[in-house]
Amino acid sequence: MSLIPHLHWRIVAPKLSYLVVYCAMLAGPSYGQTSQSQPVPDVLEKLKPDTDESMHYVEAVAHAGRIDAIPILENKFVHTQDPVDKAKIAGVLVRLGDKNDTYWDFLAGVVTVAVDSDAPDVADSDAQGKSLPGLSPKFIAWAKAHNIPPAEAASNATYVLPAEVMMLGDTRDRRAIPLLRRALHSPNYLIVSAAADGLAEIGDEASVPLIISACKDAPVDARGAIAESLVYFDDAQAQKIVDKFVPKEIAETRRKERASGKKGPFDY
Amino acid sequence: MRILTVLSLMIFVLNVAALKAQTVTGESIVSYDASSGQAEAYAYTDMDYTIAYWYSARVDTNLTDNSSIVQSSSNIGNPTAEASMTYTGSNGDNYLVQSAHSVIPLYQNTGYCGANYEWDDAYALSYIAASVEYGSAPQIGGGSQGSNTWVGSYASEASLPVQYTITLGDTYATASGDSTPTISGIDPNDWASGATTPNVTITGANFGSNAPTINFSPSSGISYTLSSNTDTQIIADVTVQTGTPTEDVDVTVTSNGYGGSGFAPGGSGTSATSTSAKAHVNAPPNSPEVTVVAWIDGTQPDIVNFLNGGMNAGVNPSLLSDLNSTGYQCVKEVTFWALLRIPRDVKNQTDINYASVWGIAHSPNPNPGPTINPQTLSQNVYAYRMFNDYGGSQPNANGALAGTTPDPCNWVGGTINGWLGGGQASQYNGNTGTSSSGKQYQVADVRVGKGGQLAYQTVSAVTSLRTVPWIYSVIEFDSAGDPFASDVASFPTYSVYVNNSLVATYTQSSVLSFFSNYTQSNEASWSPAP
Repeated sequence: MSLIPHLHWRIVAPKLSYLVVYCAMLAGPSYGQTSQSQPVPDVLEKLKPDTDESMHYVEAVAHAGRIDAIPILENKFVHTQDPVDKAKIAGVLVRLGDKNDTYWDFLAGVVTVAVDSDAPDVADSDAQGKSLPGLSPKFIAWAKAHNIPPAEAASNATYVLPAEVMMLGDTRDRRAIPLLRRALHSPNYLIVSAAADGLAEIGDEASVPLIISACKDAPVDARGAIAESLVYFDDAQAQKIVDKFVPKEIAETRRKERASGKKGPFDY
Repeated sequence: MRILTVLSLMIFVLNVAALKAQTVTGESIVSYDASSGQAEAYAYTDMDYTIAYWYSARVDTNLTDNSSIVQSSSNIGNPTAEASMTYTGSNGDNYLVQSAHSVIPLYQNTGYCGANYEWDDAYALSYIAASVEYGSAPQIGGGSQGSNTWVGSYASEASLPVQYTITLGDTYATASGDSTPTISGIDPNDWASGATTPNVTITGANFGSNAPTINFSPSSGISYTLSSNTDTQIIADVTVQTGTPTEDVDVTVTSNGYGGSGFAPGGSGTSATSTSAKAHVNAPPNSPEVTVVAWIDGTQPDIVNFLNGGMNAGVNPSLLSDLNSTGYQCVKEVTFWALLRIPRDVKNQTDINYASVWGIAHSPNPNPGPTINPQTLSQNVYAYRMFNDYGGSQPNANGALAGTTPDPCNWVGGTINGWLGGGQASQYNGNTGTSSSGKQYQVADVRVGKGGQLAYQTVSAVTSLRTVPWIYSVIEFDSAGDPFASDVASFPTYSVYVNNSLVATYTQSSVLSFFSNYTQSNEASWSPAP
């Protein structure tokens, strides 16, 4: 028996208060929006675990516009350790209209690091602009100068940093425009391509000349990846660049998708 | 429950010498529960019926942890004042509760005729200061009003009337001492002879805070290196020397006490050493070295057909183009799938099938050939999807390993893989033991790394979300040392080597069959069920 008869209440009372707060969270703020989809509680349950599989449902609720998932996503953001997954959750919260600046600040912070990186492109090109096999000597030198194993730095520069820039554009938030325009000047052409896609997703017509310029400055093999974003602009010059640099099959498919209602590179 | 340090009891008894005795009792108790990590302290001042008519009881108490005050509590009550505290403590620390006990005269009418309200110290139990202001009661033992320094100052400063005597109880300890350790589990408890089994976790209770001793019986050839220890868990690497036979081993833990002090028995029948729990040493008797190499054979008909465009019909043109054009386009497509979880360009089952086979067809492994050097091969992670090596003079010297998937985009020559391609070993990978049929075995169980898994999840989710299946191999030896290595998954190709020479090849199923017919967990199909 406890020496302290009232200990149980001292323990239980704070937990009850957490429960009240949690219930209030579940009830949720209105966020001033209405979900377009029917409630499917099963998806929200699948969203909760801290697993790789649950991250699939982060995108699923974003795609479905499920603002009722916001409290779960906020909780998931706190508990997720993987930096890429955390950025993805932050981006989806911004996209769903969460007004808490924490998520925007986090995503903008990681993207700023990516955009401001002076790491050269991992690929090297020949005189005709065609990619050469192997990591570029400049990139290897940069990695060594920063005490990062070249393969690890290359994996980061190839997948992680461009993905974070893509996540910023996928928020469809116009606050992203200045950062995405800066990213068009990145020496990493996968980041440039990601930024162009983001500006297209937001529909920032004023960025078209900047994207075209970035396209022309890029190596031949990178131009198609950058230029396909221009499909989504009603701009004659943009469409000319698409025809010039984007493989015909891809350009046709993207145009058909747009004609059938797809609004941008991240829409599906 | 282990009472850690001091259980102090202060009793003072106030006796009215010439009159009927009245009693005020004070007591302080401190205890520590190792299972919850909570130190609990409780103190009270209790008055008998007569005293309670004239006074209120008061208690002021402090809980100290290694001489630092960590909690304080006070209470006034009638007939009993109680104060309690809890504190999350640590084994090995010293806890002490110190309390001051006092009584407070009640403010009541002492006028014979008419009202005359005042503090009425009826039994002169309290020291009445020269000037007592309204609303502040004088208190026994208090040299100055409101002071917290009751203990020790009480007798000398209280200036109590001579007719009362005060007896201070001695501090004493009860139920002090350490408890017998107990073992509730050992994981893993199958240890290969001639190898080190890392991170053997012994769970239980009362192991102490000092490094405990792990004992083995029989002990010959078995040693350990302690990695970490708490009162309830020990993690150690256990090494069994080559030549140690197959045998059951009794494992015990000896506590070496807490906080730098040796084991202090908590009572009669208490032992520093636990009762035993079982572990098992497995030594493949006179066995050859068997190596199973799992590799993607890029010459299989379905893959050759794919590479020749045999699956192109009906596939989304942009999917075809993106996956097969420049590295920039291909990497971008994979990034959409693996990191953004967006199934770009994948519209239906035809596209899912194409993307699935594309990932395999563009990342084959070299044929390991008719002979191998297991140690050299094990170090080339791009040469296999999975590697399982068991038996011989050093039974699992090269172990069970996951390979690295070559980059199907062939981005910058396929020289980067990082998180994308590094294989994942399951919780069963590398397990050894004795099956119900008496065979000694080693399991290898792996799958593609995180990037590949996420990409496949995203792509497959267009119809129904699936995860990448595991692939496995089980090498077994019977009591005569004869090997069995046919227990393999149907994908990819498995080449079996005995003493470095190829003895059997199990050709892979089609890629689509691998993805469509497997469930997420296939371990139930192993010969020795995990």
